[in-house]
Amino acid sequence: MADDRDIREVRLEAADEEAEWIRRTQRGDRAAFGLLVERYQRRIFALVFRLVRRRDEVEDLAQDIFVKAFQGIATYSFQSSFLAWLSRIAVNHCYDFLRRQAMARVRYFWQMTQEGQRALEARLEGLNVDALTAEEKLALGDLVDKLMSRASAEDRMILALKELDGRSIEEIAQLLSLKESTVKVRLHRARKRMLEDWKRWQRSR
Amino acid sequence: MMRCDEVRQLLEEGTELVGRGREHLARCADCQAYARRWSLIRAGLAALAEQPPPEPSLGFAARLVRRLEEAIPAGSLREDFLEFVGRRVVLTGLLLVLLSLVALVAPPSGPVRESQTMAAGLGRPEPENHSALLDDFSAVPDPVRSFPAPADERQR
Ligand SMILES: [Zn+2]
Repeated sequence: MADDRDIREVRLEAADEEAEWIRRTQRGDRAAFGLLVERYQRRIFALVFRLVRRRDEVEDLAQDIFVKAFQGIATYSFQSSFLAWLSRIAVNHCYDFLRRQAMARVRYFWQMTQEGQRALEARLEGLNVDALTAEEKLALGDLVDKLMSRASAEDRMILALKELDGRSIEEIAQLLSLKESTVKVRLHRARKRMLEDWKRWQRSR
Repeated sequence: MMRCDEVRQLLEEGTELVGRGREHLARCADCQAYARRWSLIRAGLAALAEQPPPEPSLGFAARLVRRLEEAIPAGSLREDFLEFVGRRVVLTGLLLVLLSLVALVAPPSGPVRESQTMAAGLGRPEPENHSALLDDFSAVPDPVRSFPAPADERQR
């Protein structure tokens, strides 16, 4: 009981402290913004990584996202949590990045050797989904990674938010400024397209 | 009878099929293939989700703050404000010096003495004036505007 109250008080203090940091940032205080960055950097790194799946790009993207947040801090009106606001900036930024990247996208499957393709498929054929070995999981992860990289930026975003970042439909709707019903439809379409793409690839051997 | 599409949506969501859904799956080879494929994809997604994301490098926040100080030196509300106030103080000072010089040269009568008191009034700090200035400044468009507003504010 006492512990519960302690936790609540600590949370309240953390929220007060954060509101103060935000207000100071809104007055141009960069050091206060640094405190906000320190609090949320790991969350933003994780989100960016799941959305773009490029380890080498995460830090640069995160930096751009925080710069955007600093420049736009005047528009933050305390209506949503700061993390939710920051996440929206991150999602928008990653979406732009993926769209730019899509122009120069590498066709992974076509790069794969014939033997590589056959080996992968032979492996999938007899797989028992309920008892996967670590190696099989890795191979499946690799396959999905490639399928994701071939999907459109829209499909990727929605799939990554749902399946990799573990967001609920409601959260995704808020992040993308869409209706929940629209998110459901788009999610279904994205999954369908991913499976169709996989089938197409298998047939194209 | 459930349609293939409905059955597949349930499969995607990981909902366990019961009743008509289960009947459909038992008879539909296409949906069985779909279920198999999707379960493989799902396992692949789970494997990706388990991968630990990269950590921020040491001093990430500090470097960012330094970058902000270098890259966006002007344009923040507070610095513009201080600069503006500073300029006003300097101008008022100059005006006072000028007026006192005029007062020394000109005979101490008539309009000059009046402007001297006016100048003194200008130099006096006025707190209510101060806050009005701040309000003016928050109304001035700043570089923030050139960035797309976060979806949050766009929605409302
Ligand atoms: Zn069917």
